Amino acid sequence: MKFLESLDFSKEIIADFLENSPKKLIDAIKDNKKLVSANISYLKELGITNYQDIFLEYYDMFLIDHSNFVEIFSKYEPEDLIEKLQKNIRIVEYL
Amino acid sequence: MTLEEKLGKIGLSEIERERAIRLFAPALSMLDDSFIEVLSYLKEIGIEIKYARDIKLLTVPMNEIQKKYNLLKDISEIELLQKEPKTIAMNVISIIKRIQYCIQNNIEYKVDGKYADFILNEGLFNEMVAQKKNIEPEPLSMSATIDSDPNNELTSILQEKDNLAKLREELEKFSMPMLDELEANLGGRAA
Repeated sequence: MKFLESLDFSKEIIADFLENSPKKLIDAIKDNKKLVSANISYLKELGITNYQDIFLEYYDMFLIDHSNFVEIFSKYEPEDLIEKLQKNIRIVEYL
Repeated sequence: MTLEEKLGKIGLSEIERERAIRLFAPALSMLDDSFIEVLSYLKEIGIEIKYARDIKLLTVPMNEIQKKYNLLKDISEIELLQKEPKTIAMNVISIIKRIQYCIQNNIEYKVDGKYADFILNEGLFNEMVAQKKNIEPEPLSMSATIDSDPNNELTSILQEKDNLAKLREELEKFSMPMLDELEANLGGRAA
């Protein structure tokens, strides 16, 4: 999971994530690390400061095809989206 | 089994089905036939998959779920965790570690019959631990240690003696007018 480190996830967070997530999904994330990285980077570049929390809660969502993933978030004004996600990451499910 | 068939077995509401297909299709597509066994086991222990986001729970192998469930039974927390379905298979080991820390340090970790937020959230838990460390009393100073040392009898006797002397002094000051009065009365009677 080195690719998560390059996206500023700490070693402790990664270890906790690996310990507490289903192996099947971890393997899928490892197999699709380019896609997962691209999706995380998109949120990061959009200015979503709590992108790590979003990944840790909805990691299975980051396996979505990149263009579909972008489509979910790009419908909204970035500033408004950032603010709403900072208040409650569950909003992700309603986008 | 098609996605639709899988969703039918899981029994999500229409909104949650739509959400599952839109956002969590990768996890949904990973489910093989064994998820039905996991689903019924979860139901048996009181956990229902109501939300699309919890589909990932069904990707956990049966033996893993049972192992974690047994860990919970060991600490008698199963009823509480049933109120937090997602946590049962996902973060259970971390949660157990946090609960054990709270028990060992006499920290209240339940609010109105539910877990405090810091039990379910690692970041909040770390904050709570850091705060607790900051408000813990400083180690005893050297003088306090000497005073409380049962072997240092001389110090304690001297201090006690000093305190008694001060007390006597105060009492004498206080009783002086009374004594004068008494003496005067006695003198008057004698005369």
